[in-house]
Amino acid sequence: MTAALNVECLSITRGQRPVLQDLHFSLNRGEMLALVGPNGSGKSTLMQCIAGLLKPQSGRILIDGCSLDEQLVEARARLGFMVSQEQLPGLLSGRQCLELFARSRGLAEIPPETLQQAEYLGFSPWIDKWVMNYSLGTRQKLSILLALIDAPPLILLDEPLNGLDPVSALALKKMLRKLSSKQDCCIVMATHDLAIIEQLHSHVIVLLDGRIMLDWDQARIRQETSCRGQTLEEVIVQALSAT
Amino acid sequence: MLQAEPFNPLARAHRLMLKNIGADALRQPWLSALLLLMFLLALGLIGPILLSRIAQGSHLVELALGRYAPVTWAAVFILSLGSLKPLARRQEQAASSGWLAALPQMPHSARRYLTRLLCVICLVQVALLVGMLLMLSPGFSDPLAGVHWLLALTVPAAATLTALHLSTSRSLDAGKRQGIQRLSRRTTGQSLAIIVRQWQWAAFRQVLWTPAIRWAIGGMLLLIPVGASTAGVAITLLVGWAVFQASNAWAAWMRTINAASRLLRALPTSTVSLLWAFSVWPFVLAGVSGLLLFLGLQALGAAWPVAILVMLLLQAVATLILSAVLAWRHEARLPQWRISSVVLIWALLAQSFSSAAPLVWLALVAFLLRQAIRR
Repeated sequence: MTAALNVECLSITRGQRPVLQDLHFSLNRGEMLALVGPNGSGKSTLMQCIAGLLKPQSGRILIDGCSLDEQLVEARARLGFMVSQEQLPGLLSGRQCLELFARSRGLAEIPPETLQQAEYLGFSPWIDKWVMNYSLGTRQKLSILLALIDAPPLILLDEPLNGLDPVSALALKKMLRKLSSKQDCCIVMATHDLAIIEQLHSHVIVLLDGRIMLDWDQARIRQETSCRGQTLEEVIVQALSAT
Repeated sequence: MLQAEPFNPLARAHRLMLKNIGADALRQPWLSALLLLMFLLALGLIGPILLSRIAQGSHLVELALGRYAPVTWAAVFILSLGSLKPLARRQEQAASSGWLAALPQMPHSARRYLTRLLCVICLVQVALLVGMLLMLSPGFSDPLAGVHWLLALTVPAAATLTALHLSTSRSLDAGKRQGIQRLSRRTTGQSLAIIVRQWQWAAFRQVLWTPAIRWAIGGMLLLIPVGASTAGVAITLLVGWAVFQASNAWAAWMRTINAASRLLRALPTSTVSLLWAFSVWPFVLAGVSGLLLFLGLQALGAAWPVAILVMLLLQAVATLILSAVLAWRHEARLPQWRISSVVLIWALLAQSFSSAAPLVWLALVAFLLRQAIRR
């Protein structure tokens, strides 16, 4: 089976400083990866590399079998990327943004599933208002919806729970679980919320100074937590504190 | 067989934004609509009035094309490039790291859109250039004879291609970042008044050499009559430069008041002391420019320096008060219209003085154009 995401020997340097160093990992469809690490550890840079927004100095990224270097258009067609909310255009309405992304994916209009997700997240009352009038949480909802349009094989979400109210956060978690289990999407989520990893994710990678410090799948997570008698949150915090 | 045009998200986004702005303008209250209409009317009237005045007294086009053709066309190239490059850079940056950057169509669609946009602007520039040369050279048999026709077409095209090529340069970003870092180091640990002044100064420096200024200086050359002495040319350029920069500084400082209203609202500083901190530079500017204008007009023996001076000072004070009050009420969009309306009234009053200097008109046009571009 083709991996939804394959990262091989990925390294990137900014100026003299190495931001990501020799990263290797692969994810299958239906997997949910939590990307964890302290501020500046390289999570967002890694996401940008996977989205093809940053060109790595070395290494290769395959999205659903398509190389970002050689088949950029095909690779991006299989990718949903969460736009940073301050980049959203203030002069467009939420519906116009969604329509634009839907048409970019070859759809004639906003898919009914997306409108349903908007309803579920409590975004519908805002959908026809200009983005400049949105609150932080509402912008976040729009960013998430843009990434989820048409349920692509790989979805990249950078701290999606930031700014969401508890009701919307729970709705999002349910939506992501459904996307991963029923629609076979692979979801990569950068997060600082360690408490949700155990209940939501099937895979966790901890980044530290641009290197992979831990790379555990579901079986390993279970094994480590039961051996130590600790929650995953405690295990990760302990590992980060030890360095 | 004709192939369907592939979907271009960037072009679609810009079309939607324009549509939204148009629809929003129609929904505005009648006063704003009236101001907008007056603003557009003034823009439409002042340009031809200014050009016809210049055409009556100046033969610079004939002189420039006849004697200094290489320098003239080089200046056209630089002005054209100066207006296109920032636009190309902004579009390129939006395509590589903006909200649409991760879509499958990018960056090819953005590149296609940018090329088309610059081509349209290039055509407009050619049309304006040819129109201006024909209009500004009355009595000159054919200002675009021979090779000049070819140059009028190729020079803007060459500038367009250069702007496209330069749009991917990274060196400018690094320069801007370093400037911000230098400013943040300088302002650490200073009092609020000093920080505000440095902030205003930095805001002014950012717009010190913009495409609008370059075009204004280029346009100012047209005011110099044939046979003017070197000192006359130098003084005209110097005075014009000072007028444009004063207008530039004024606009930049008004913008900092708006930005500050959002940033500093939560500080336990009194509004009066903040207003005072923000008013120092504008008042110094109003005082210095008013004094220079008064002395200059008196030296020229003009009979109307006091009226102009009073209007200038009134405009300065009214703009400052309106901007500050409205900014602190968090109505950031309104002050620009208020400034425009004050300038319009100034323009209408100035028009009643038949001897109003063309330079005053030019400054007004530059100011209005900048307002329009910013909107």
